[in-house]
Amino acid sequence: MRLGISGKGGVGKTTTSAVLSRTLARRGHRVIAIDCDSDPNLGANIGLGEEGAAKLRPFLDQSGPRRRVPEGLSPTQLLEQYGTPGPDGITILLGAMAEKAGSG
Amino acid sequence: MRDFIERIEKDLPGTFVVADMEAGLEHLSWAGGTLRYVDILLVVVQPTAKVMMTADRTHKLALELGIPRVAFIGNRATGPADVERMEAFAAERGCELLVAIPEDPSVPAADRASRCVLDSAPDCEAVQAIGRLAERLEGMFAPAG
Repeated sequence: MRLGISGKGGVGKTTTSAVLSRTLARRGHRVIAIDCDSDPNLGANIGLGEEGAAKLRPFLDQSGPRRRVPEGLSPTQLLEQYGTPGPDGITILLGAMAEKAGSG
Repeated sequence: MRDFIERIEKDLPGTFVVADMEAGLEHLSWAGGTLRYVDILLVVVQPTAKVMMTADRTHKLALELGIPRVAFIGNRATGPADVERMEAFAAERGCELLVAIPEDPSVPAADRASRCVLDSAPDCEAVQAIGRLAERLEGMFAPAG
């Protein structure tokens, strides 16, 4: 059950994603919330607080021209290494963060 | 990212993955498309022409990419006319509007306080609407039998 949430900027994607993720978790599901935005703020919206959200680190390798998942890691391993526990038992993954201008 | 989304279902079957995408269409138009392996694309719309124009492009790209299912989530509905407009938009594309989330002052208030609206206003209308959305999604993906 992999859900992609899309839409124009400012339309309410992140709030919807945050509340939906936690609601599904409260209903007994295992939930992984992935912030795929290079200007991420899902963590803060989900209720980690600004301090908690600032501790999230991106899992995509940003050294190459294309941002890729680290080689050789299964999704489970990747969750163990990069996943951050969030409210209601959800796991939060941060895809990428634009850290350097012009680094692709 | 695409690889992760593809493989997660085998690794952890039954998990709900909620991928909050970047604004814009890159996640659908890049070679291969980050979102290629989602089971459903939920496009958030508001009852305005600009937002619906983006949603229309998103829908077309999703079809080209082969995403099996596209549905719309209506947001910031101020009344029945807004809901009808968004329902018609979805129906014209052979899709469903899974829920119409009402305009709710609790949402921007939570934003200003850097809190999740689920914590600051757990019973507000927007949270209740997203609860109905969760139920719809469970129903759509419940294992057969």
